[in-house]
Amino acid sequence: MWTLPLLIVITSVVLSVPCGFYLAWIVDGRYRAPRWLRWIEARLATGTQNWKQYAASLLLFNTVLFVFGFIVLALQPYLPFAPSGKGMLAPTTIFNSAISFFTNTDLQDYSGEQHLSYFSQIFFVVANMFLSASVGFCAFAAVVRGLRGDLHMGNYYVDMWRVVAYVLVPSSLLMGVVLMALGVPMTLEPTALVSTLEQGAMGRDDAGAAKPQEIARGPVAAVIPIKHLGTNGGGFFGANSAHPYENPDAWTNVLSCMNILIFPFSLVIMFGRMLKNMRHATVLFGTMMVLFVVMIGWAVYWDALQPNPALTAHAPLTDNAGKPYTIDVLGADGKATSKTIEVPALAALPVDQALGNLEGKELRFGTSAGPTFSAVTTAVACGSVNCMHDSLNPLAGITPMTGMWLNCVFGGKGVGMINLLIYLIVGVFLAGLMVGRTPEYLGKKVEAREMKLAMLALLIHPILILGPTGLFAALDWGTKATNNPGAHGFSEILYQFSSSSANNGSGFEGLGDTWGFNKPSENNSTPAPYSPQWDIAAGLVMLIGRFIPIIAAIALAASLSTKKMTPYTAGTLRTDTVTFGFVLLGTILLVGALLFLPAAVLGPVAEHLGPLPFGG
Amino acid sequence: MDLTLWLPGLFFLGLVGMGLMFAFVAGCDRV
Repeated sequence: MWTLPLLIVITSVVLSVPCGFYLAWIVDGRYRAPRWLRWIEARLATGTQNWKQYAASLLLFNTVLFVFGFIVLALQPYLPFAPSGKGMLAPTTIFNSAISFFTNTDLQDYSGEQHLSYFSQIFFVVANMFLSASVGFCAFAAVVRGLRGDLHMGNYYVDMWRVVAYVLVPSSLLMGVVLMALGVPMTLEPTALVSTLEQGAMGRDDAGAAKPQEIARGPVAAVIPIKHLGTNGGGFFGANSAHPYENPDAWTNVLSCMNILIFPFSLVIMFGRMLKNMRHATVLFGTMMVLFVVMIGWAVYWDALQPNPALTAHAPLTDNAGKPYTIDVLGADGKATSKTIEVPALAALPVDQALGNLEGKELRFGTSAGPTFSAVTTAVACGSVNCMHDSLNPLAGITPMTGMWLNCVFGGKGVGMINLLIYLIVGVFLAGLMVGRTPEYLGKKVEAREMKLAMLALLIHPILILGPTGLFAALDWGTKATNNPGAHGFSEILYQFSSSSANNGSGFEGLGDTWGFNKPSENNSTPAPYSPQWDIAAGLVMLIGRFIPIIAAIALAASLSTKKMTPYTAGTLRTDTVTFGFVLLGTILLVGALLFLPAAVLGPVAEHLGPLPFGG
Repeated sequence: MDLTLWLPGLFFLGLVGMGLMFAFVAGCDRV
């Protein structure tokens, strides 16, 4: 039960140390590449940039990604590598998907194997996965340069090249080969058509002949490594990492989790190395690890060690006379005793809950794998799933939501550390106010401009979550799209916007947000009636939630870089002590709780306490 | 959905969104 999460966390921590040193070596440009790679890098080096130039380059690059993605998806029926002849997605789905992939969210309001051609999977999905993963990395590199007082923020295009060419491509190639060896398919052949043992199990055509079973496949091993290493999360198949082709067995599951965690962990080490302050990085790492371990423990306990309350919380059924049904059971001592029969109202057969809640879980991974993966994927803003998050027990569902709400428990590559630094600035400010000293961080005074930028970065996230959630929960757009009534339905709405703002991409996928192909005749199922509203709203939330924190943080770091160093005195708040770790932890919990506890109570907590008084 | 209306409309909505981000860069400079 607990071996799996321990194995994943410990292995990822151990590997993150050399990986973090490597990342610092690459980002600082201390490597010596082969001549042909240096030639390419020289073409990209347009000179050092200040923070505005760096931010503008980042936004311009992302605008190009949006245009490219939109055009590729709009022209899908006319492009090559489409052996199954996929049609064009609905325009709102194109809009949502184009934004989703360039913001590293990978929210998929479609089902990959049903709706995307191989060309779209390769040239839209995979390309965006590499490039969007690098964006957060580059933004964080710029922030670190600002914090250590560099005269410039670097060059965005050179940073992008370094991350893609020397970090993501080699690691993805290596993992791709390993995953192919473990059974992940890699082919450009079309869907396999197989005759079933039971003739007609798939139905019959108009002539009465038995239809074959269609088994989707494709260049899966090209997608999965960067899906996890780049904390993207968008799956080749709709079932994501619950699908046996994306995640064949328990070992690929462990590898998937390690791939998800390795770069977010390593970036903390990189931070310490670049700042030449490993003690400070260790404090940050430890603070985040405390939260991370609690999140995993909470999810595993409430989902794998507690039963599904819907199947157990029932009074015994009674006969017409009002007496409960009983059965005589022979005890170990040979005597018969009468036991009351408790029949779950939702199941015709009794459900064995000894292994916890197994609804929506893939048993080949082990019982704690589902909640562990849900904690891992949402802490680091990845978004891939190996179980149905909609099936998690109510209190277990708080873990993925908390990971997305805080968005700083390691968090997405680069942006997780950026968010943590924002909380850190707020914590330093609060501590400074309490003792009557001007707040300082790394020897630089934190003043009004820095606090305004930090507040912009901090507050946009809850605004983007709570505002749209409230709007959709009050309208048919939300209430008619949910798959479950009451508090769980509210959780589905809340989760979707949390996932969009945090650029996570996972979902409580009972929510009806899929339209599919634009032509109704090409769809296997009825388009969800309010999916256009969901597509547009979530798309805008993803876009704003991605760039506001990044831009504000780069501006903040640049502002600090221009300040004079303040010498350390006996009264300086040290940032490399356990005390500071507690200050940071307290700040995160206080701010996070104030912002999101009410929403948590309306959703998962109400559902746990249900069915009264919320009808969940 | 009517492609002649939705496709260009949503394309420009995306561009407008990115334009707002550029404006945010300018706004951060004035904070």
